[in-house]
Amino acid sequence: MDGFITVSDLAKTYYIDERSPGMWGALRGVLHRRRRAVPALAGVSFTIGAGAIVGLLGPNGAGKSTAIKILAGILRPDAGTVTVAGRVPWRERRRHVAGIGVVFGQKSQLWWDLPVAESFTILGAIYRVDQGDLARRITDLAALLDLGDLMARPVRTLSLGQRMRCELAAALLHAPPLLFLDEPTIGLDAPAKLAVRSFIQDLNRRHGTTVLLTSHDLDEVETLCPRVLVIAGGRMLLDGSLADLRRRVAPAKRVTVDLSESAEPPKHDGLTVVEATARRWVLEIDPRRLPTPKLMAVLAEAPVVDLAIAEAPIEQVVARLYAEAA
Amino acid sequence: MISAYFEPFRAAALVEVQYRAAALAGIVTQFAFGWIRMEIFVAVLVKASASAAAQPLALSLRQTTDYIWLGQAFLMLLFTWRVPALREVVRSGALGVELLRPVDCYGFWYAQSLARVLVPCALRAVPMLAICLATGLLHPPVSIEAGLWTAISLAMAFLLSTALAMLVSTAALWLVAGDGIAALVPGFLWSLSGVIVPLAFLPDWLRTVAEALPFAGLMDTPLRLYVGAITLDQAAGPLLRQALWTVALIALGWAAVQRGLRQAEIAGG
Amino acid sequence: MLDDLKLWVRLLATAARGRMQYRVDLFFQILAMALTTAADFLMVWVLISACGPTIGWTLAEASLLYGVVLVPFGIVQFINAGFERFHDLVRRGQVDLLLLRPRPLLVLVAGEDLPVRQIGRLAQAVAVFAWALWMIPLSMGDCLLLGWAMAWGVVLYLSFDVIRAASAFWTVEGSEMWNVLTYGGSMAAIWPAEAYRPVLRTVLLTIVPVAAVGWLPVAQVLGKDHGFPAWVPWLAPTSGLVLSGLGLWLWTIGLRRYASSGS
Repeated sequence: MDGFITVSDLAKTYYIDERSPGMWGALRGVLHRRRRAVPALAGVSFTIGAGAIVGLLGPNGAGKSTAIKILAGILRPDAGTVTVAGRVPWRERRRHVAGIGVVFGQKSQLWWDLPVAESFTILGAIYRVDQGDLARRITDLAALLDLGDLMARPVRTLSLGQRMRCELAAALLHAPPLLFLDEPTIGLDAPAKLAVRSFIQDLNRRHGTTVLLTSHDLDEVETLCPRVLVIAGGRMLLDGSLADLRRRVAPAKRVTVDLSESAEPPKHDGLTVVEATARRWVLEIDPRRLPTPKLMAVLAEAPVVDLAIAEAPIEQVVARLYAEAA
Repeated sequence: MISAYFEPFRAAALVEVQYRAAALAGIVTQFAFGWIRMEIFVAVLVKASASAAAQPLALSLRQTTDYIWLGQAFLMLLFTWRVPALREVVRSGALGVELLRPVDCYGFWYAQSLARVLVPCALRAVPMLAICLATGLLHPPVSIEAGLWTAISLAMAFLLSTALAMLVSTAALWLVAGDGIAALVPGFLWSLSGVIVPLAFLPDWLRTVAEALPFAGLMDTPLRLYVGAITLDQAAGPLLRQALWTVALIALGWAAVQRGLRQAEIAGG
Repeated sequence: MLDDLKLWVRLLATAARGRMQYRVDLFFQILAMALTTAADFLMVWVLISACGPTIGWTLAEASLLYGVVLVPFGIVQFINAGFERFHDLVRRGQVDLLLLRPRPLLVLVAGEDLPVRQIGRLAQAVAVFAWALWMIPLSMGDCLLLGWAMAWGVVLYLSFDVIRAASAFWTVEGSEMWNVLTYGGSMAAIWPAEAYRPVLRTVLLTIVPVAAVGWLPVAQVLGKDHGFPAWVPWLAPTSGLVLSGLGLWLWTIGLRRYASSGS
């Protein structure tokens, strides 16, 4: 399979020095190190085509940021092969990073005390962007991200949402074909989140930028990413859409039935009665044992007035998946 | 009432006690600098005392090396920037709770700051003194009384160091050039406390100025008592100066905090 | 290479503009730094005047040594402060961000900071040096030797900073111990090394060759007996080259280690 990003059997283990507490522990640590192995990735493979938006999900410490660091060329794996745009990231770090943009939600790459515009100029010099191109891109990005009033303000005076818009622009000044976003909307309020989201979609549509995104905001992942990779415990749990994920985990649906007269709730494999009053039943349905058409048949005899089927929230689905992996 | 101030002291001290690895690094560093300083003075003083033409030295070789090693052990007395700024204390919220109680804001902050100066300094000083005394780099005090007065003077140096650091950081709040003046203090501190050159070696006019300033009380006064450069009957003057400066800086600091807080209230802070 | 050098200058200018935002205290900070570092000169002055001619160096002569050592040291403290902050950058994970930029990490770190207050240190050393030059008549050859030594001094102190920074790839703890190498080294170097006991003199001529770059050439210029053939003071300053090689080697293997440990 030929992809823009190809990863196979990627493995990485960290070794953490263990130290006994106290001054003698520190002294002993100098003479004799005890190391503990912490596997972060244990054989992960995937391929991403150019122009895709892919979400990377996983519980904390699952190996997401390790994967991103390897793909960005700042970390060298123990085993496995990676090519990004035909290059091995960590072998040719400088050439590789010239073609990617990275935004870390919790770190800033702007000069804290200087106006945003100055950060952009110096970043242009670092990435060797032609003066004319730089001016044009700054104008475009400023218009798209609504940076007009912010350009002259020192970064330290910006709100988190304003700063994040500037960070996005900063990561795109050299027009990278690949963008990594690590929790880009963490801590943002709803309007700021929406602005960032629609910008990412727009960027992908207009320039064909490939985007790899990690986030704990699953609504965001659901709207942005047709495809998600779920990593937990250093292994790939799922590679597909969130709808696939739902089907695979298949959590119970909750069905609320309003009745015209009181009746005995039905009994069936895969159906649990949560609550039954004179005019209402609340049922929990396992869709694997009782698919919706069959449920309709079971309810056909009952005096049904109205009926509501609720999907389990996506958080619950993912939490179930993580729990199964653990 | 006392416990209201002991609590912040204890809390800050418990935090500082955790940094034992940092103390170890500090001890190694302070030893290395002590060695370099000692070598410079030994190089000069050995030659000077061997020469027949030399005038008598302000401190003997033995007094000078004792002075240097004791100064290295208590070097952190001069690290006034380690005292938390009033802004920090206010922001940490600890003060907000305490303001509801009948506790003086300055006293609360002073207790915290004293722990921040005293504990890391002690963590370095105690092992360093033990090693220096055991290896003969440092001699015991000239007499029991001299040792006793040194201890008293050292205790006062801790109180003075804390008060100085707090006054400087408060002045920075409401003087226009406050930050600048705050920046200047370490400059004077370094030159005029005795840590680089024992004040006894200074020319008379400069020594008189240095001894009149509060910086001498941070280091030179206890060290000179220890090495016997000030005999006990001469000790009253320097000790009194040290005490007066301590009281004066505490009073000034207290007034500055009161004024700072009033301004904060007006500004709605 | 030239492009990277240009970027370095540009990054420094940017860092300085960041520092200039707090213009009000800048003047005081420079003055304070001058005062703090003048304590070292105070020591030289006091010891020379208290102990008179027994040392064999006049105040002007000692000031010449002071300048030859501390002018290069001051220059390095001014333009190379990014390395002094490197332990902190590693601790806060900022190095990962720098590695995302398509330039040598060495250049990016060197361009991290330009502490304007260090002008105080430099100005103080330059003033003492200028006074010494005015007091002591020097030949063309003398000036050449001193200039040669001071240029290597810059290389030497830059190397100290790189070695110190490279250590952060192994451990970020105890970074203050490296002050012994930089500040301790320069402090030991401002005093005529022939006065030291053999152990310290040997250390300062070999392992931490601050005296090889400072004292030897100055002693030669002043006609003091340094105990070496006359060509040695010309060659000795190049020991800075050895240390810069060591620094670059440690930096390279440290960076490789960092990329595989990810800590």
